[in-house]
Amino acid sequence: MITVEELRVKLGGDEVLKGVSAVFLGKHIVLGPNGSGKTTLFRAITGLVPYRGRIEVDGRPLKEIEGATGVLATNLAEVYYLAPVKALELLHLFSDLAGADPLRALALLEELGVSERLLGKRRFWELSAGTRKAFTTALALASGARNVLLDEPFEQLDPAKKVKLVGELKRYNGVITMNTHETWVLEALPEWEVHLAFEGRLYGPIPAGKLAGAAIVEGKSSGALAVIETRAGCFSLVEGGEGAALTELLTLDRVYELLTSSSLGRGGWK
Amino acid sequence: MTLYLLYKLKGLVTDRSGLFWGVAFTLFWVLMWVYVFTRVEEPLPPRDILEKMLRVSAALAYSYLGGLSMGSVAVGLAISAFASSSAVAFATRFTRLTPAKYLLEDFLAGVAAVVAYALACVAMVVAATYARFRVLALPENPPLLVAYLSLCGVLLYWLSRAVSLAMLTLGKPRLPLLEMVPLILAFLNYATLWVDLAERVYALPLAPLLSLVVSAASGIEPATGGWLVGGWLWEALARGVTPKPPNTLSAPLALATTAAWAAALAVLSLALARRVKGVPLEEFVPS
Repeated sequence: MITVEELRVKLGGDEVLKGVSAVFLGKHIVLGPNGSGKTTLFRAITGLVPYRGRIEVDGRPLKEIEGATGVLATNLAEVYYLAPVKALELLHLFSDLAGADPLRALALLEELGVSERLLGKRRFWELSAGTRKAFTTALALASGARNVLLDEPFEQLDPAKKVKLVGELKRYNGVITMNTHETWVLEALPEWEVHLAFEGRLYGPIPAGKLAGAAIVEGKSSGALAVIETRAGCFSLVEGGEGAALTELLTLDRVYELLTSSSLGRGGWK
Repeated sequence: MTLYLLYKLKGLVTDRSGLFWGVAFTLFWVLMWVYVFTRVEEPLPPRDILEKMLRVSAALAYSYLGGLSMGSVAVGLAISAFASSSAVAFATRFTRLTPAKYLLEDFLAGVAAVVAYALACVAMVVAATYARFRVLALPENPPLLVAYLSLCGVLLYWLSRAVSLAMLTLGKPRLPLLEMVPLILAFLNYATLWVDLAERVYALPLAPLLSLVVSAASGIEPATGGWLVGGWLWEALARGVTPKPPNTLSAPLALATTAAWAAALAVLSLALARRVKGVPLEEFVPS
């Protein structure tokens, strides 16, 4: 279980997280547009950025955690640049350090289309962005950690591999918190809980199945699943409303297009 | 111990940039040293005197060209520590690589890498000298040579650590020159071949150790610098006399100042470590 309370992160003078509070127990999706603070939230939980507020992992304050295997794994790329060796050696290194099963990681990678041979030839940073993402996601899942943070795990995967990864995520026996800006996951993982991320704040949790059928309407709406304030305007997510269906947006980045076009009077949503 | 020690060391000694600057670049200067700068004119001195002269010449090459090689490795150490800061922050929390294990294994790997490159330089000098003169200019006291090279490794490790932490404290690689500090230091030391710093040599990190390396490899007394000026070295050797440097280096003082420098850099590193911000991979493209 991961608990964050009044979490604030400033990067380069800008407040990227503005007092976020949430409990991640079970399977969660942090859904938000690019720049909403999703990855910064994960970096804070993994101890990579300075923060104010409280972060606890399995009931232990983050600042007191040291040498704890099996507690938390992530697919954030920067945590894997531990030694300048071939990617396959890095896989064995992390398996050794995190107590993960390297064969499980390799099997997952094969499923995601990454061969052991390729990993034996290239260093981590020489892999393509998609392969690197598959590599880190497979290692995080193979760790068997009680808590896994997955940053945009579907990025640059083809549709068939996305389906395979969804299957792996469903089967995983532990807490998974995944962030994405893609709305198709709402239909693929309807039983997961969703936290919506906008401009450094979290809204929710809301069951993904409910959000999959929700629509976006301008302004504050009574009985809405969530009312979200942004710099471009306010909107509500309502079940069965007449606005633009959330899943039709494909990516939450488009919310801003809608808000902007609405304010310009071009319509496009209710 | 974890696999970190092994893979960190392997990464450092197989790094392409390190191999270029630490071996290929050094080899060029070794060849220049042996084939261009080492002048042996007719009539040749007696065989035993020639061998002694070549042994001293080779010792100077091990030491000062080896210094450049070690400085290159230290630059690699600084860059890799800089690039892996986020990974280390994560691994020391959520893997069995505790902070204490990390510090120990990273230190051992770093020192071993510096010594490995320095020994590669020794091998290159011995091979080149043999190829030209058919004289095997092996070090006079190999264990002492390795001990001094290890101390060079310790000093350069802490220097590279302080440099990388300074870069991290600044937030981003805003000062690319900073990472080159170990190599700049090695070039400053190289200059002491022609400049006798006398007592001031103790204030220059690495310089006293390089002089001790020459002494361990050749058997002659260590100098405070100026090995190649004034002719004191070659004239004495040509006469079959043990050379006496104008200013002799004190080995205990040299070791004490080296320890002081290493301790100061370690303390600086620990102070900087409190202010460090990790650098994500995307912001850094390794060479």
